[in-house]
Amino acid sequence: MNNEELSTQEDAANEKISISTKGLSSEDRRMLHGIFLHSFNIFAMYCGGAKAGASGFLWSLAPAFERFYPDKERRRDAMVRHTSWYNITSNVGTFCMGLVAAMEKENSEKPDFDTQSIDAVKASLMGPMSGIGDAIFWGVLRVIAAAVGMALCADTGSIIGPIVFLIIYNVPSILCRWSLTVLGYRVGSNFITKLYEGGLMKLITKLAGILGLIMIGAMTASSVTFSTIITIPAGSGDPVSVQTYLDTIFTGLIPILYTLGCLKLLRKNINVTWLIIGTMVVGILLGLLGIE
Amino acid sequence: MLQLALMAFFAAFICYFVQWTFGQPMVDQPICVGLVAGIIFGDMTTGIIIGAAMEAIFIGNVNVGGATSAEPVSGTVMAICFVTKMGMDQGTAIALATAVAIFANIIYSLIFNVLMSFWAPLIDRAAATGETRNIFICHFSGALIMNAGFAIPVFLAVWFGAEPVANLVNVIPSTVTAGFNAAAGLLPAVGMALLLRMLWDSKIAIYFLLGFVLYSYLGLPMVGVAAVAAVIVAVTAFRELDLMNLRDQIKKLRETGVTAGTLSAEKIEEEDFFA
Repeated sequence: MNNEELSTQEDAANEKISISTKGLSSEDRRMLHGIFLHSFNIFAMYCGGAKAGASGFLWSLAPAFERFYPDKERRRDAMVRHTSWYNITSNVGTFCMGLVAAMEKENSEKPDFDTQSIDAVKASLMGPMSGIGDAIFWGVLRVIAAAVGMALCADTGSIIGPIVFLIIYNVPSILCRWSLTVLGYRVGSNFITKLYEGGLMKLITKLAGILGLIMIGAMTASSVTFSTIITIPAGSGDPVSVQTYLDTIFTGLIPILYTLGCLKLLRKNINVTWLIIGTMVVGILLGLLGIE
Repeated sequence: MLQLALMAFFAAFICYFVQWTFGQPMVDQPICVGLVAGIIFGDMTTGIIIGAAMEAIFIGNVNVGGATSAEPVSGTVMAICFVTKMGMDQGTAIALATAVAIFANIIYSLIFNVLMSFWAPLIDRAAATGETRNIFICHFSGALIMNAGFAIPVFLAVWFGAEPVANLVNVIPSTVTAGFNAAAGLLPAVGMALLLRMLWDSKIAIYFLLGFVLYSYLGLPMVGVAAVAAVIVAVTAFRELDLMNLRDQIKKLRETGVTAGTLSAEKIEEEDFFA
C-alpha cells in the first residue's frame, strides 16, 4: 500500500469523526435521541457484582433493538447477548452505546456478521473509557464544580452554591453525553485505538491532571484548617503565638503537610477508614491537650 | 423521633433516587444533600452550610464501580437533622456524621455489590422475553428497592440515635467540642489526599503547590484559580501538540531512512516519492 492510499484512508477516517447529526436519516436521529434519553437511566439499578449496569444498558439500547430487529426472535437473541456485565462512567458510556447501535445495525443487515466482535468491542472499551471518564468527570469537573460551589456557600449558606455546583457539572456532562452518543454511532471501532496510538489520550490525561492538581491545591488551602492557640512565654514581653511563627514559615504549613502525609499513607495502601478515624483521634487529642 | 427519622429517610431517598436514576447529576454530593435535607428539615441555610463543610471532607470519595470508602449522604442528612432539630454544635455534628458515614458505607456496599446481584436472574429472564417493556419493569423496580435500601441506615440512625445523642450533647465538656472542631478542620485533608492519589504524577505534582499558593498567598477566589489553571492547560496543550507533530515528522524521516540535516527538503520529497 503506498502513501497516497494510506492518506486517503486517513482522510476518510477523519471525515467520519463528527458529532453533528447532519447527514443522518431522521430514523437514525430519532433512535439516537432515544438512546441519549434512556442513557440517563443507565445505573438506575446497579446489579451488584454480578451484572453491574447490564439492565441499564439493555434499557438504553432499547430504541436500537426495536428498530433493527422488528422480528421478535432476532431481537431476543440480541438482547440476551447484552445481558453481560457492563460498567462505564455514566456520561461517557454513550460512546459505547452509539458504537454498539452501529454494530447491531450492521448485524441486522449482514447475515454473516460476527456478533462476538460486538462483545469484544464493548468489553475492550469499558476499562479505558471508565478510566478517562472517571478522571475527567469525577476527578476534575466535579472537583472544580464543588470548589466553586463551596466557595459560594460555605459561610453564607446561600442557595447559589448548590445551584452553581449542579450547573458547572451538568452542562458539560450532558453535552458530552449527547455528542458521544452521535460520535459512537458515526465512527468505527478503530477510533479509540487511533487516539491511543497518536498519544492524544496520554496528553488528555496529563492536561486533566494539571487542571485537577491546581484545583485540589487551592481547595486544600481553603478547606483544610488548623490553627493553634499555644503561646510561648517571652520573658517580660507579651507571649508569642506559635501560629504566627508557623505562618511566617509558610502560610498553611500544617494543612499542606498533613494533606501530603495522608497522601503518602494512602499510597502505601493504608485504608481510608483508618485515616479518617486517625484524623478524628488526632483532632480530639489536640482539643483535649488544649493545643487548638 | 419516628417523624424525624421518616423525614431523614425521605431526604436521603430523594438524593439517591435522583442521582442513580437520572444520569448521576451529582445530587448525592453533600453540597446538594445539604440543600435537599435543609429544605426538608426547614432550615435551608444551615443545611447548605453543613453540606458545604461535608463536601470538603467527602470530595475525594469517588463513587465509582461500587468501591467507596464512606457514604456521605447518610452522614450529611444526619448532621443536618441533629443541628437543626436538636441544636447540636456544628463541628460536633460533622465529626459524628463522618463516623456514621463510615458505618453506613458497610450497608451501602452490601446492598450495592452483593444484595443487588440477586436481580441478575431477573435481567436474564426479562431479556429472554425479547420485550423491551419487561426490561423497563425489571430495571426500575430494582431502582426503587435499591435506593430505598440505601436510605435505611440514616432512618435507623435518627430513629434510635437521636434521643441518646440529644442527651449526650448536654454533657460533652468544651475541650471535647474543641477537639471535634479541630477534627472537622483536619478531615478535609483525607478527602484531598484521596483526590491527589487519583491524579498524582511526579512530573505534574508541582501544580498542586501552585494551586495552594494561588489561594493562600494570592487570595484568588476559586473561579480565578480555575481561570489561571485553564490558561496553563491551554498553553501546555499547544506546546505538547507541537511536540507531537515534531515527533511524528522525525519518525517519518527516520522511516524513510533519512537523518535530519543531510538532505534538503526537496530530496526528502524525492525519496518519499520513490519509496
